[in-house]
Amino acid sequence: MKPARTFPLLAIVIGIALGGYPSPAEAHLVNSGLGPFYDGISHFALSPECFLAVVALALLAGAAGKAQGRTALGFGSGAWLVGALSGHLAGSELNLLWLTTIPLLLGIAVALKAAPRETGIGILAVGTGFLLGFGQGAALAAGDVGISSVLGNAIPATCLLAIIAAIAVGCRKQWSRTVVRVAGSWIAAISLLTIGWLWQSENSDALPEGAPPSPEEVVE
Amino acid sequence: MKMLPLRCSLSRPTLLALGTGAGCLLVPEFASAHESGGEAEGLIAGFLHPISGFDHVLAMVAVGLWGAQLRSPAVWILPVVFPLIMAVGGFLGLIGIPIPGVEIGIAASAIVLGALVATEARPPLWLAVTLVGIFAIFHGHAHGTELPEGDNAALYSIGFVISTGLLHGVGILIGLIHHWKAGGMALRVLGGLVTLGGLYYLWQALA
Repeated sequence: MKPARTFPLLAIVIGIALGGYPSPAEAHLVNSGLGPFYDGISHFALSPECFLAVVALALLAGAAGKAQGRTALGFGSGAWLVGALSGHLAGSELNLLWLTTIPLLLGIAVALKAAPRETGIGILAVGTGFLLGFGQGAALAAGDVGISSVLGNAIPATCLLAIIAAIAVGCRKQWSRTVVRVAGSWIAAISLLTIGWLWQSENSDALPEGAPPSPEEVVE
Repeated sequence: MKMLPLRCSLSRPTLLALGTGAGCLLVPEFASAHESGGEAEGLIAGFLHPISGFDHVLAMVAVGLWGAQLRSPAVWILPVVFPLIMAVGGFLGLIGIPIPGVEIGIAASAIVLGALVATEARPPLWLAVTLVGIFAIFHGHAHGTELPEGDNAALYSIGFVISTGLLHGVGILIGLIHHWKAGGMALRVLGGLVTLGGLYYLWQALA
């Protein structure tokens, strides 16, 4: 593998590994009232950081080519299901702040027009799918939702991955490829702001002297 | 550097309609403040934040105008670069790293970008990207220090970044008038107006 391809891949893999940093539960579970399967769907739909990571992975894989798109779909969806099952059984949630580094790094890779080969995409898809699935499964377990929620959670992730990757594969004209890169840039920007915000929430007492006032102080 | 022509398959009436519509979007909001709205209200609050200060609007639209004037590849690269670097500035603001003279930097961005449009300046791409990136830091930092704390950071950020991107899009759409001779002149006049707006905000920042 060429160094130009290895560096972004390595950065993303490190980011995904950091995503595994454990922390207390931060569930944002929604009870749909329609049973565990639909609770799993709604939980995914209401987890924008996971949603963005799936979109970024799909854009990266689809823009790299058909084969990479298929690899991401196969490995990513499988890893998501395994991860969600593991998370549901283990029950310990992952840190949302570190987890948000996944869409950040994937978004940067899309914006920089990185085109990993199938092996690289396979590794990224497994890492991303497993970690995000694990976080989702653990959150569902924390909400005492049944094991079938895991399937409900993995299906929309798979559908989203398939649809976005297919759209990205079809983007052959220059302007449409630019749209893909802009989308990657937006995903990275959103993730970075989210990370900053989460960091601020976790460390609001540890801001340096002379730092700008916190939002609460501004309001007061 | 060879600049490729920006191809556009839209008809003139459609372009005119899109440009006029995009311009109209700028009219109703003239509030010159970066207000803190208390609790984050999610997507809509994030979407509205960048257009709550007209100095920001001026500079972001100017980025689009200049990109359209510079044509490809700048017209595509500047909107890719700006949100990313702006987010870096926002991140610095959120984690409490101060940047001096933020308001002056924001006003200067409108002055400089407006002047670049007014003079139809065509610097090398790397210089254009660097310049826009530096200004993006100031804008991002101002937003980062003003983001209200809430329970859905990601949704707020999504609205915020989309809104910023759309402001560039408005600028690019208006900038398409550059394809006509009279439009090119009108675009330069618009650049001059952006500079005047920037001078007003600089005066306010220094007062």
